[in-house]
Amino acid sequence: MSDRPIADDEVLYRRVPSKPPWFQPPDRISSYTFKLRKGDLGLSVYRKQEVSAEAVLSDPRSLPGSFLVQATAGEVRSLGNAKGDPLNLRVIAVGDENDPGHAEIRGPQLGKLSQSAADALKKLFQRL
Amino acid sequence: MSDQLTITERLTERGERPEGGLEYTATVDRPFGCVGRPCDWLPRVERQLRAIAALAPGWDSHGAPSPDGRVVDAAERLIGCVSEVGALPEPYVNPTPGGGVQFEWESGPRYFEVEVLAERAAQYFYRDDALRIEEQGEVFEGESLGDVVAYVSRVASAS
Repeated sequence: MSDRPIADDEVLYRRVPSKPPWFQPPDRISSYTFKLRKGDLGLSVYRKQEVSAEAVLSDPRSLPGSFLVQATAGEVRSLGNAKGDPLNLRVIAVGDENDPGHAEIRGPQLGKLSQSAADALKKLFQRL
Repeated sequence: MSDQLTITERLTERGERPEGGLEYTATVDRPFGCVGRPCDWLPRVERQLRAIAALAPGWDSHGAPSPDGRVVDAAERLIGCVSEVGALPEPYVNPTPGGGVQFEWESGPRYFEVEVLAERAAQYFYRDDALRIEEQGEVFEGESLGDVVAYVSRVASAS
């Protein structure tokens, strides 16, 4: 477990169930995958340096058939919208002993990720 | 005949039903040139919406609530109106993590989504990577759906 700052070159995993609404076969990931639920402060991701891909996928909350997508923290932080304007996303470590390696992608406004940010994250994260 | 597509509120009597109040029914003032017949995909989309409405609490394994039936109904009215323009592509239909419903269209560099957030409110987002364009806005029940239809048409024309 670690709450040390996340370096730009750290790889982040995001879990994606392989069915709608997260994923539409054969290969389309929906922006749903990158939207916040009510009460979320940020979008959950996992740090490759802290937790293995297998452990992320074997978590009891992982739906069967899920897969991972990945991007680096630096790519998330420097992400812009289609016009090139910065989205000012942050990557924050929030792991604890019950959820090692857990981190969050947060927007400029806590608890809110814009449609633009969800769309940009959808394009950034690549299947492992 | 109107030159724009709208969702129109219609006040109806609800008799002794306990919830009372207003019932909203989508009607279409057909735009010039509109064929006025729903696209072939509308029944499939309606089935998807009914499936979304039937999702049980916790369906996402993270404690998501069941979608709000009133929001699903509003989404059905919205997509019913959009489908009457004709010759538009079928959307992807998803619930949203916040309890709403989202329609998505994507082709090449163009992407459009409209998210029905509440019984009478939706927000939309359009992106064109080739032209480096990004636009967003809101639409409320009773307002023109002209922008929504225009964005869907733009995505369709990228095919």
